[in-house]
Amino acid sequence: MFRYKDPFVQNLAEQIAALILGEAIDRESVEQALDELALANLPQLADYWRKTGCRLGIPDSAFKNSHVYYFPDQPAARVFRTSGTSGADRGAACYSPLGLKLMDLSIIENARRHLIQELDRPVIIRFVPTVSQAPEMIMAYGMELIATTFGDKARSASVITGSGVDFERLRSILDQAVSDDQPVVMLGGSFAFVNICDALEKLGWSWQLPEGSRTLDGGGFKGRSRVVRAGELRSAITKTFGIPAGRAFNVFGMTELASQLYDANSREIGPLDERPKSNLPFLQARVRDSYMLAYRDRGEGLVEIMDSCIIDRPHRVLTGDLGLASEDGVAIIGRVERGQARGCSLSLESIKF
Amino acid sequence: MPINRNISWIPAWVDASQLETFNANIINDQGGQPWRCTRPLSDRWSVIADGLRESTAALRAMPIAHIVETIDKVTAKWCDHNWSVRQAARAAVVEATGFSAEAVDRSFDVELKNYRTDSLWRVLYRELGDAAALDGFVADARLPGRTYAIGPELTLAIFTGNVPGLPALSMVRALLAKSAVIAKVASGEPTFAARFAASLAEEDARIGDALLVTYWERHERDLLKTVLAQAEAVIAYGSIEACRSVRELARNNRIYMEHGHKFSAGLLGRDYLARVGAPVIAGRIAEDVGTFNQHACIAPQVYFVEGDSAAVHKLGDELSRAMQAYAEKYPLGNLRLKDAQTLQLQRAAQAWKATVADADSGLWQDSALNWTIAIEKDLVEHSLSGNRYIGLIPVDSLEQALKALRPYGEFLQNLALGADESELSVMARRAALLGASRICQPGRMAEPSMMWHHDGQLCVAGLLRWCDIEMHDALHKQEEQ
Repeated sequence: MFRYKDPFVQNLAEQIAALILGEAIDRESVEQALDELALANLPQLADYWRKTGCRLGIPDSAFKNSHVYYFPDQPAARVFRTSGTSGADRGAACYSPLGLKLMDLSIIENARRHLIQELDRPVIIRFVPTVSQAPEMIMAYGMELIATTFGDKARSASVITGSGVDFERLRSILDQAVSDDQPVVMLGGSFAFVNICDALEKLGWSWQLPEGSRTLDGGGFKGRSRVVRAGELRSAITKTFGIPAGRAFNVFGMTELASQLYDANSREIGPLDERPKSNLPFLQARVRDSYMLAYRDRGEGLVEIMDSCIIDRPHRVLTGDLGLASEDGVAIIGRVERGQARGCSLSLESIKF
Repeated sequence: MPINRNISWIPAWVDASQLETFNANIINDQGGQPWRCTRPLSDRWSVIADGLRESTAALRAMPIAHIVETIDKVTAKWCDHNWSVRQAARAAVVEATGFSAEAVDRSFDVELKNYRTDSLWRVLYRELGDAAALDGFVADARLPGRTYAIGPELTLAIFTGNVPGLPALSMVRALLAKSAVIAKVASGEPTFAARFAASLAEEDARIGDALLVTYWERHERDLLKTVLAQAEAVIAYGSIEACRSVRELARNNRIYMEHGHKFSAGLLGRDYLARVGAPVIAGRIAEDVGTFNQHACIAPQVYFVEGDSAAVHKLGDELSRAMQAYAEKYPLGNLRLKDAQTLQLQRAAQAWKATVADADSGLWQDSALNWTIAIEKDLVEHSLSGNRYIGLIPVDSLEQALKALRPYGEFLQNLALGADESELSVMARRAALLGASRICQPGRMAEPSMMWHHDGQLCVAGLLRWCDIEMHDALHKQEEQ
């Protein structure tokens, strides 16, 4: 068992940080060290791998009820929780100070590389609550970190209030940006974008935002009442904000991960126009064969994400999503159906009390 | 030999100009050619229903003994593994369901043995008292007087595709009631019903004339309404939602019988387990779970086991051997992609529980996705079934198991009660009051007799109406006593 202060852990964190920053670090040796840490601090993981027949990512269900955290000698610095319907089935992910530092670095470097790119102090508007409003919500945390790191401090804000979207405030920020020709970056949940574009259309409001403006939506449409094609959302964004589809980015993140995966390019390879996600040395989405669990380079399968920025628990996660592997990366194309009974047996899930 | 793609049976008397033939929009992720379906043009249903009602008149003129004999003769052929028609049907069902040939054969054997003479007569006498009442007025001493049982002029049967061979059951029941049948096959297994109808027609063309097997999609509500308007009786199989949507439209049908999705389970008492022994019981559970690939509502989703964690783990070990042995004899077949994905995720979640999160939990599985055994804390934890995924739930008492089942009472169907006499009668009574409609011993869940009150109902008698003669001087004095 490695203690938190063990040089092995500290050194590993440094190596990971260097990997995130793009330094020439051997990715495989970092992965090996992460597995070594895992087997030392969570010896049962070897049993799990034996049971599953491969070094399978830990299932998303592992975050429910009980959660794994490697360092009993170091209290968690932060806990993020999934949005469950009741307290009992809400998942939790705990971060040590080092783990949180890596997470922050990953969020910032990933945003610099994929989202902010050449922009200098753009206006960053968030369609997610602030961290003080939602301290355990990972999307609120990540998007606020991006805004405070890269945004124009005077003008950036979350436009979510206790009673919903503050459209007047949104309008005044966007109008100002247009008149000053200052690029705008809007961040939010995928479904929030859909609702906001719908609402703005009803109000009859639209903008041609300055050149370089862009959006980032995350979260997808899982569990939502309405299926919206990714392309449909991008069209709405273009229509409402004058932002071309090529600058309407999607990000895949979840409470169970420290890092997020951005679109690799604008190719729409999924059945609902989903784009492939970009793999990085410290962050890779892969697809496992639905029957054999072997990794596949092409085709549909179960998404497993290797996120080297996770050092407080196993760093490979079987997310419960379906992916389509391509030469450009893996597109996330939906959720695996759960709780289905086959045949005429009743699915207890469907009548749970 | 190429598989016959036709999934419909149209009586010989129907004029071809009244029909349309199309490729059924049935998705099969295993590839393969589309199924071909023929059905009446939408404005010809009433004419064709008239013709079917005429066929009912012909059935009514036949002695019930002839109908029983004909069904028996046809079934005898179906029970022969070497019969070319059965072999072709098996190949089609394998293609449609992904079941292995062995699993389909096993399903055919279990299903079809019910349609032999002895079984059919027992059903009629159990449900009707005197089967001759189907042929005309018979003496009824308790009335006293005479009584006559009359079946529907036309029955609509809506099938599910989960159990190979199951469509025969409703067709046989309707024929025993001397009713013509319109059968709507299921996308999950659309092939068997038409072949069964054809085999009956070959034995007696007049029976074939009373059967029409076809297909429409669930969203074709207008077509369903059109057919419902012609039917006197409706037998509907399906999910809760599917049944509800048919039930809503079937309000004006005189008879509506439903076999919605159900929940079945096993209960093993401590003493019974000790007396029979874990290896034998494991073999029996494997039969219950393996038959029909656990797609039937009579298949257990879980077995409650009275005992501590060690006892349940020991049974799990035995059961893993039994499930593997069963799978070697009757492989599962090809899982659908979506089913494989769901299963893999569930297995990973269970593996995590068994190794990291909960020491009392357990998981046994084969690498080929043929079977899975999970030790689960309670029924709330159980979320997957079908494709031979069985949960074992330790309980302190069988009473506790029944308590766990109470919220699902209205959906309860088949219970295997592993208990000896004194306990059996107490538990069976409670299970019956809870909602169960069948109780048997472990290992016999998959083969209910045709005599069973399926879902608690009289499935032949429920199709009948009766006419009694009483209080009439002309009746013979003997009948009056």
